[in-house]
Amino acid sequence: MRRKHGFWIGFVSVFRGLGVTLLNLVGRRKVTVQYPLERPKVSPRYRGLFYLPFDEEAGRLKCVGCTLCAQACPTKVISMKKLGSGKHAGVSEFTMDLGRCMFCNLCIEACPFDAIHMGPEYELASYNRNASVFTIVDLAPGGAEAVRRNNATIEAAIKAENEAGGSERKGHSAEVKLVVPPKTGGQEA
Amino acid sequence: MAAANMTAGQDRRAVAAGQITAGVILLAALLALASVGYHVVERVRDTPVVAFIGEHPLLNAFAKSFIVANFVTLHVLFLIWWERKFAGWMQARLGPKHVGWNGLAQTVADAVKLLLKEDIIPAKADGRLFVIAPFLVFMPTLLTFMVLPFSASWVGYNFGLGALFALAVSTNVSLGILAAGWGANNKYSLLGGARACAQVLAYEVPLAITVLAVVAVSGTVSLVDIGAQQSRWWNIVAHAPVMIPAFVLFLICALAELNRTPFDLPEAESELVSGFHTEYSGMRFAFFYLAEFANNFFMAGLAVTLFFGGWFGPLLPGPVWFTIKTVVLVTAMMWIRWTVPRFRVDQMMGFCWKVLVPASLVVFCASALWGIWVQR
Repeated sequence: MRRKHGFWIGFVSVFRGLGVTLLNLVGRRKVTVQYPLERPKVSPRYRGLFYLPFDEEAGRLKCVGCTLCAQACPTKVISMKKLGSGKHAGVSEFTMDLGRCMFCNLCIEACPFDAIHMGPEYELASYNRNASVFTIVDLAPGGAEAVRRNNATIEAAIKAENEAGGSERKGHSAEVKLVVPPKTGGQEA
Repeated sequence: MAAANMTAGQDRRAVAAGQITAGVILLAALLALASVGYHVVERVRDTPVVAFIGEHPLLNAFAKSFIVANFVTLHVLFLIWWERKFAGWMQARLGPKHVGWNGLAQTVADAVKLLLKEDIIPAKADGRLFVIAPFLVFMPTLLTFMVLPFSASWVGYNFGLGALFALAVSTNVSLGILAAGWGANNKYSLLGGARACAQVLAYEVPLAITVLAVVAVSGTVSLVDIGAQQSRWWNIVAHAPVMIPAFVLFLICALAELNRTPFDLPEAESELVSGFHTEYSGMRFAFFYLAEFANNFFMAGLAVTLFFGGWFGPLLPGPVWFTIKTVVLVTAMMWIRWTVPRFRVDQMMGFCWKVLVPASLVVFCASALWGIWVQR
């Protein structure tokens, strides 16, 4: 009796299977993306290439150079050079060696200023290890022009503060290197 | 984002519609071309040169085998493309896409690649067996087309015992497969070859009996005569009560004969690497592949001749109808192939001897009685 039952299950399941494959054949959208010819639209949360948001109102990058992201990074991807201090702190250099990056998102979670993000760009492979090192010029959305404006804004602000506040906050240096990761082997992109 | 997705979807749909239209137009053009070709050939038949070739026994044989071999090979190229495309669609993929229209020339590119590859014979292989095995597989496959009627007059040799000849010759494929498995000096190959031999010989029994069932109903063993009897009604319609079960049995046995899933034990990838052709590469591998699909084409052709009215059909000439019907049947076999998982060896043998052989004997007796009753 049980064997008979099993026979019918097997018999019916063959036709069910044929139905499933038929439905796939005619009724389902093909999932293939023909990559070099057409590119997938990634989701807004996609973890691609990093960027440093530029604050248009303030005329500078949002980053204040606090190094929280660099400290949160498990693989020591991030190194930066701080520019200024206190209210007008920023960065003049911000280098990420994506050869070591595992796109874990920890740096972004660590940032209290929303000053580092991941974008939609995913074609990061290169023929050269040095090409996976991204400098601030590559990471800032406006490129070299944005970095120039950032530096100019911060330096002007520091200068203004020094002239106004005078002696009591004297002596702080404009540039302090805070985190020095192991050698990255060059910085040309 | 949503809007962008929607336009992308519409684009895709438009592209798909364009592709389908192009496909239909191409198919229609192909059919028209084939029909025109058929009529041209029918005209040319009476010219002195062709008549001379037809009367000369050696030239006749050579010309016919040349035509058949070339047609089968080209058709197989198409079938391989179609199988890959079909499998792709069933798995929500696109299949070959780049070489030619929708990858139509992909098989040609693959064949050229295989031809250019290094010819490797393993150091410890039995050289002679290893070398001739692909041809031992390919030759009987091609030989079976000799008796397959593409129409009443388009047949290599109108042989009185056509059905038996076809069965007898197609069994010899297992010899080549065993030679390949033995000659490669590889455990996987040997297992695959042994399995193929056992399987093909076992399933030959119910296959032959189901063919005999058709013979019992038609009263002739000649494939041309069996086909010619179906000018009004296909066998499977005219003798439905016995021919439908006979066709089901035939289809199962044919799948086993062809070593196609669910009976692809001889080349079971997950168990035997790729079975009897594990050690083969390049040109020799291409021959195995070619033989497999040519065999598939032949089995479908045999089924069409026995059950589906052979070359008869409206409008289009006989050979074209025959080819269309075989392609439909081959597609059905592909459908089964890409759906059903593989049997276990003991299940496969048990199914043959315990289920198929008795069932085919019952069908044979029933159709013999039916034949007597119909003829009254």
